[in-house]
This record gives sequence, structure tokens and C-alpha cells, in this order.
Amino acid sequence: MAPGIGQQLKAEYLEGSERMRSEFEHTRSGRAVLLGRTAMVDSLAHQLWRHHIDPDLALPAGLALVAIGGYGRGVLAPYSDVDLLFLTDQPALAAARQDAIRALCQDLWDMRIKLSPTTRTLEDCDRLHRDNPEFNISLLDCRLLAGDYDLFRRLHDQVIPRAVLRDWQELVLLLAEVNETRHHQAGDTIFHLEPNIKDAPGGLRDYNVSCWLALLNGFSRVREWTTITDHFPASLRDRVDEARDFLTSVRCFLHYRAGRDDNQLNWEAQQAAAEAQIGYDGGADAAEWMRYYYRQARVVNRLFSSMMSEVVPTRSSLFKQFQSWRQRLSTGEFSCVNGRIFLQQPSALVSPEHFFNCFEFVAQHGFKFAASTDLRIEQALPGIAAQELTGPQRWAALRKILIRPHAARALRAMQELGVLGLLLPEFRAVESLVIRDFYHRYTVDEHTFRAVDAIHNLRPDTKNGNRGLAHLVGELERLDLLILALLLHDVGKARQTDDHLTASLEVAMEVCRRFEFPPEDEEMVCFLVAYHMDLSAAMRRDIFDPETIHALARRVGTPERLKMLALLTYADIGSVNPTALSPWKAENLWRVYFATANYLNRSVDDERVHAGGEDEQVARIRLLAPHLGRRLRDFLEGLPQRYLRLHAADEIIQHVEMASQLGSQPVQTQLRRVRGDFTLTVIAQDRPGLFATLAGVLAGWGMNILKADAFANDSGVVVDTFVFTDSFKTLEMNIQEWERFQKSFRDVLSGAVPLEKVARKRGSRAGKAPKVKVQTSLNFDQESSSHSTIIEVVTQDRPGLLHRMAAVFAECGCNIEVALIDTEGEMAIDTFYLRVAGKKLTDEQCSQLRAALELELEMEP
Amino acid sequence: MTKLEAVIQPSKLDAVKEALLAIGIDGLTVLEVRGHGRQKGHTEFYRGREYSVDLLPKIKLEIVLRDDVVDEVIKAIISSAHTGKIGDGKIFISRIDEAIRIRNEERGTDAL
Repeated sequence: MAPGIGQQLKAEYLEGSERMRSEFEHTRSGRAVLLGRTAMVDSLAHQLWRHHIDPDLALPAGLALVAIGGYGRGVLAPYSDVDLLFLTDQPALAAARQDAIRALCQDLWDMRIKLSPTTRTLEDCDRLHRDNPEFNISLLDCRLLAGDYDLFRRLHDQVIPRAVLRDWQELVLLLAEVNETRHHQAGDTIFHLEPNIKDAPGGLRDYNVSCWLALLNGFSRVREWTTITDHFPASLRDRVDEARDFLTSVRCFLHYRAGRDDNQLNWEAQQAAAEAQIGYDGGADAAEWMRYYYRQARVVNRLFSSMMSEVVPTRSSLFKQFQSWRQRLSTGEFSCVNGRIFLQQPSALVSPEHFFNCFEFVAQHGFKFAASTDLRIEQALPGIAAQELTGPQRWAALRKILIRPHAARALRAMQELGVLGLLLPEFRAVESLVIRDFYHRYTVDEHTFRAVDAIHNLRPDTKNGNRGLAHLVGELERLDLLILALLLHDVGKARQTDDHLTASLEVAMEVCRRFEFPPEDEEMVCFLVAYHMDLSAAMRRDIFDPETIHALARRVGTPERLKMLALLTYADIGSVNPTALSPWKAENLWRVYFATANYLNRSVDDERVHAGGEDEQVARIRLLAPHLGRRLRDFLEGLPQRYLRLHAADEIIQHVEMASQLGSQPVQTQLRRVRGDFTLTVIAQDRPGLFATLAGVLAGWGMNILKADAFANDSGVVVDTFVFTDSFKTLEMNIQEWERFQKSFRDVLSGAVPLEKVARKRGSRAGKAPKVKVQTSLNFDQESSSHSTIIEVVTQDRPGLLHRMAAVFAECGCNIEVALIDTEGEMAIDTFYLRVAGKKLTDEQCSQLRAALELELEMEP
Repeated sequence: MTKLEAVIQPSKLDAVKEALLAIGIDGLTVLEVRGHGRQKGHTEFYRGREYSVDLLPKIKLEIVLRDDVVDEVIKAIISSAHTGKIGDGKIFISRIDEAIRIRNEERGTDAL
């Protein structure tokens, strides 16, 4: 180059760049910047070609300068790379012009343009570069800048179509693989608090990949170049243009701000972009601006996801087999192709049941909707919304989804399609909501969905050291309530308040009322939401200090609540950022859990109800049943506090009424069906062997006891509750048997019928062979209770087990003060508080009891 | 320069951080660790399973200081981490030959 021309071009380029920057600050149009910079670099390339290669822009024959990649598309961001291809069909010519080509590139480098030049023959462009598929992909954006036009036409019209048609499948798979890895590295979510707007899911790279997939799809169908947007889902076309333009403007803003190719949208940049109203004029609030960003990223992500599913073929024969297996899951309502859900009867979507079944199907199997299904759901949504479902109907629809293993995927789909707000409008407030601190990695909604996933992904076979917590999931009585509480635990963050617990609790109460929850369900959800930070707080104290554990136990009240809270805490911490739940912290959580659980089970008879004590539950009962008056106080006096936590207010009112009638009928029974199981409550005056007798009658009827508790008040009135399954469907099939069943308890306890006669009914049946062998463990604890000896028995569950153990206690002269019976799979986990003649057992009595129990438990049923 | 390695109860981390901040120490490294000294662990039973609690959770702080502030910092750590019970932890003190700030290669106490 003649001295001075390089400097002159550089000066022109810098002046033009500065002018564009000024215009951008005025117009905020990223699109104009991209086109403007592309035109400037085109002009430079032309001038340099004329100077270094040939004065005639269309010569020499056999050599062409081609823009590829983003430059080829004509979308050069202020500091992005410039990809140049020197194309030739005569390697000798390219070699001869090597110095000139190098000089051209050097001049561009000297202008501080980041250049990626490559010299290739047509043959090079005609083969698949498995180690560098990006080159093949970048050719899809080729554009002639200078040189041999015919040579370029051969590339564009013959070589690329031929290569693409030949290698289409492999090229698409390589593209899919690279981008799936990229998404996976970004946690497969668009909801990062500081996203990279080029490479993160929902970023410009996703848009570009979608364009390439569209072109490749076009080649595979009509064997020639087609218009990219023709292949985009019709429902997304307009929105995609808006999203692309927004992201483009943000990218230009970030480049100008950093003075380099920096696409990281960090907090400071978010604030600055909001204040400058880049791409969105909704005010200077950074959180609001970021919500707009996430909306646009979501559109691009949907496009990417849709194009990947429509275009990418199945990978391998093994993968095909897997897909084929998945297709067998297709039902009358849905079919699955390549892991995408299609509607068998799109017209059926007008009924809410069919409509929500779509999401239940996603939640059960983890598939994504096909683009056509997305579209049909969006079309059907207004009709479903117009049907104004009742609260219980909404809960029924939501509940079915929450309890399925892929609930979070279904919830994300519901949110994207605007369906979640229909069932849970309160959740809209936290959609794309940014928590601006260094601890949270994700938006509130994404954090919540991750927490839901964390619960469903906890399995007993987990190897990450959370096995103990994983077992708890299987023991839960109400997984649905736990997941609902997770959905609601942070909704209060949408309110501008420092106390998000109270705000979330208010929302939770409103939701529970709208769903018309029974009081105990509302209480559980509200407890979990209101106390969801408590276990984390306990972990910041000395977890080996008994007072830390006692205080936590007092607030939690029951083992079931503790299990739910521990799992919620696990999910909540683990979903804040990928490293928040370190193995150190997870182990501490487990230790706090089991120390508190042990305390709850070993302190029952020390914490009793006494007159004058303040208790929310008692206050609630007084409000609901003022007529009980003194009868309530007399009944509750001396009962363990646990009783108040385990039973709902209306149940306790019924118990008081039953206890009032003991004078006329000394054995009061109540039988109820609760969620598929039966619950029997027996209220009677205490007597030796009472618990053993009741368990014996249940065994005689062939009932399988799942849970039980036995409490006594100061007047010697016992309240024994058994939850059992009806193994022989005696009660389930014959409603008239309900009365006969209850009468048998009264008959046996009154002595009218001997227990042996009832026990013989089903007593001889042999239990099924156990699938899991449980080692018997007897743990005698003389310290935890000040009044009783505690015995914890873990053993193989079997028919009549509780009766047999209780009978051993009776034979040894032990009175059961409290019994807490639980079953986990085939393992019986029972805790008994025993006294002999009103005192703890002596060491000798403990030894005798241990021997008798071991003998009994060794025997086959 | 001196390095302090303080092993403390996790529950005392916030108090120690505040005490250090109050005397102008705002840079430290915090590690989640497990271990035991004379305070040995114990065994817990939960649902028939035995859980050995032999390595207890602790927090380890590492701070590199100018020599003239070491005594003041030790005093601040002791006063904020002390409960009087077994398991309060320990402080280890060692000499540091050199410190280098990677960003600008400053050395010695300037790099702290």
C-alpha cells in the first residue's frame, strides 16, 4: 500500500466508527450499527482489494474474496470478528498472491479489526470438516465482496448445496451437539442473573443456530437455498424479529461500553442499559428492564428449541430405539415423536381436563411439546380462561402436575405458554424477577422451578451424599403440599419489602383459601412458607447445642412438618446457585434434621398441655367450639403437646365430645377414610394391655397398620389413633362392615368377646415373603425422657407385629404412656414410652424386656 | 508478615467477621472444614441406623497480616469466638516470607 493510504483508511474507519457510536447513543438502534459497520468494512475490503490484489474489483479470475459467518450475514457488531474467505480454484494462483493477501489482512489488522482470514479451494469447501464444523456452517452465510463472480457462484450454487445435501445429517448433528453442550454448560436455563447475551441460552447464538437449521432444513426439503424465516414456526416469526433486534441493540451497547467484544450483561451494565433505555423504554428500573430481556430471551429460546426438535434427526440406532420406546407411551390423547408431544385430537383441547392433561403428561414423562402443540395450547387458552374454574378445580389440576417426577418441566412450559397464571396468578409477580445480590444466580421463578426439580430428583439411590434426605421424600404423606409451598415460598419477593417471609405467607394464605384447603392443609403450607428460613438459621448456630435443637423442635412441632421443612430447605439452598449446597452444608442439614427428629420422638411425654399454657391450636378450638368450656380443659390436661400438633382442631373437638360420652359408652370409636387409608380413633379409660388389645383386633381383621399414636391425659383417658390399609378390602367393599368392625373393639374391650376369637378371623394368614430384609434394632433410652424409658424398635414389618410387641410389654408389666408407630416400606419404626408401676424401667427390667422382645421378633408370624 | 489460621465454630463466623471488620480487617479466606481436636465425636441413632459424628463441622479462617496488627486480631478472634465450651477451636500462627498481588505484582505488605 502506498504510504499514507493505510493511515487514511484507518482514519476514515475510526471516524466512521465514532459517528456510528454517536448515532447509536441517539437512536439506540443496534440494527443500524450492524448494517453500518458491515458497509464500512465492505468499503475497506473493496479499496484494499483494488490496491493489493487487482484494480478491477471483479478480477482476477480464479480468486474471490468472500465474507462468511456474521460478516457474511451483514451483522457486524462494533467489536465482533470479521471472517474472510479467500476462495480459489487454482491453488497456484493463491500461492502466487499470498503476499498480497497477507498485506490486505495486515492492513485490516492495523485498523484493529479482529480478522479471521482463511484461504480455501472449492474442494476444501466441498468436504465436511468434522474437526471444524463451524467452517462449514459459516459458509452458509457467504457473500461475495470482490474477485471472480463465477467462482463465487460455483461455491454458492453448486458446492454448498451439494455438500449440504450429502452431509446434511452429520452436519446437523454436529451443530446440535456443540450447542447442546453450550446450553448444558449454562445450566440449560435462560434465567441467569448476569447472562452472556451471545452464548447463553436465549442469546444471539441461539438465533443464529436457528437460522442455520432453517437453511439446512430448506436444503433437505427443496434441495436449494430458501428463505430462513419461512421455516420458523408461524407463531414466533414476529416476536423473533423483535427479540433479535432487542438483543442486537444490547450487544452493541455492551460492546461500546466495554470497548471490546464483551457480551456479558453484568449488573452494572444492566443498570446502565435500563437507564439508557436500550431496546426497552419501560423506565430506568434495572429489574424491570431485565424482565423484558428474559421475555425476549425466552422467545429466542423457544425458537431454538423448536428448530432443534423439528430439524435435528435422531442420533444413533440406540437413541432411535430409546425414542421408539418412548413413543410407546403415546396414548389416545397424545403421541410422542422424537421426544416431542403431539396432540392426537387437537379439537378436544376445549375441555379443561384435556387441556391440563397435556401438562400432566409432560410432568409424568418429561417430554417437550411440539411446536404445533404449543400453538394449539395458546389458541385454546382464552377459551379455558373464560370457563372460570373454581378454586378446588384449579388445585386439582395443579396438584396432578406437582406430584409428577418432571413437574418443573411442566411448570416451565405452563409459564411460557401463559397457563401457570391461570391456576396460580400470584406466581406472575415473580416471573423473571431478579434478586440483585451476589448469592442468587437465578431469577426467582427459575430458582423456584429448580427447587421443585431438586425434590423430584432426590432418590434413595442417589450417590451425592443426600441419601438420608432422599429417603424422606418417600416417607412424605403430602408431597403435593410440599411442592406447593416451594412454589409459594418466595412469591413475597415481588413486593418491595425487607420481610419476604410475611409477604409470602400472606400470599400463601390467600392461595389456600382460594383452593378451599381444609385447615390442616392450609396450616401445613403456611407453616412451610413462613418458616422456610428456620432450618437454615439453625444451621448457622451451634448444631450440637441441645438448645438449638430444642428450639427448632418447639417451632416445628411434629416429625412430618420437620421432614417437609428439611426437604424444602435442601431444595431452597441447592437452587440458589450450583455451589450453595456444599457437601459440608448438606451433611449439616442432615445432622440438624435427625437430631431434631430424635428429639421430637424422645421428648413427647415431657412436653405436655397444662392449664394456663398459651397455645395457638387450643385458642383456635376455643374459638370454633366455645360450648366445650371446661370439658376441653379437662380433656387436654396432661396430654402431650404432640397430640395438639398431630390432630386438626375439628378432630380434637370430636375427641372431646367422644370423651364426654365415656360414662354411657366406655369405649368410643370413630372410623374415617382419609386419602385411601382408614383412620380409627379409640377413646377409652386406660387399662392394662389396652394398646395391645386394639392392635390385636386390627390384626384379627387383617388390617395393616401404617401409623399409630397413643396418648393419655392426666385423668387416664387414652386417645389411640391407627392409620391402616384394608388388606382384604373388607371395609372398602362393605360399608355395613364399618359398624361391625367398630363394634368388635367395644366387644373385646368390654370382655363380651375374647380377643382370641377375633384374632382367629385372619390371624392365621401368612404374610408375603419380604422383598427387603430389615435387621432388628432395639434401642433403650433412659435419658431423653424424665418420666419414661424410651424404646425404639426398628424391625421387619409383618402382620400383627404391633399387637405382638404390645403384648410383650403387657406381659412384662409395662404400661405404654406414649406410642409413635411408623412404617417406611417394609420397615416398622416404632417408639414406645414405657413405665412400670408409674416409674422408669430398672436396668433389670430393661434386660428382661429386651430378651422377651428379641425372642418374639425372632419368631416368624 | 504473619498468617493466622483460626479454626472456629461455624456458628461464630458472623461474630468473628464483624469483630475483624471493626478493627479494619476486611480480607479473609473462609473454608468449610471438618475435624476434631480433643473434642471427640459421638454416635447418634436415627431409625435404627447408626450415624457416627466423629468429624465435626468447623470453619477455618485464613488471614495474612502485617506483624504490627497480629495481637489485636488474635484478641478480636478470641473474644468473638469464645464460648468457654469444648470445641471453641484454635488459632495457628506462622511466618509468611512474601506476598504478591497477581494483578500488578505488588509485593510485601502492599500486596495484602
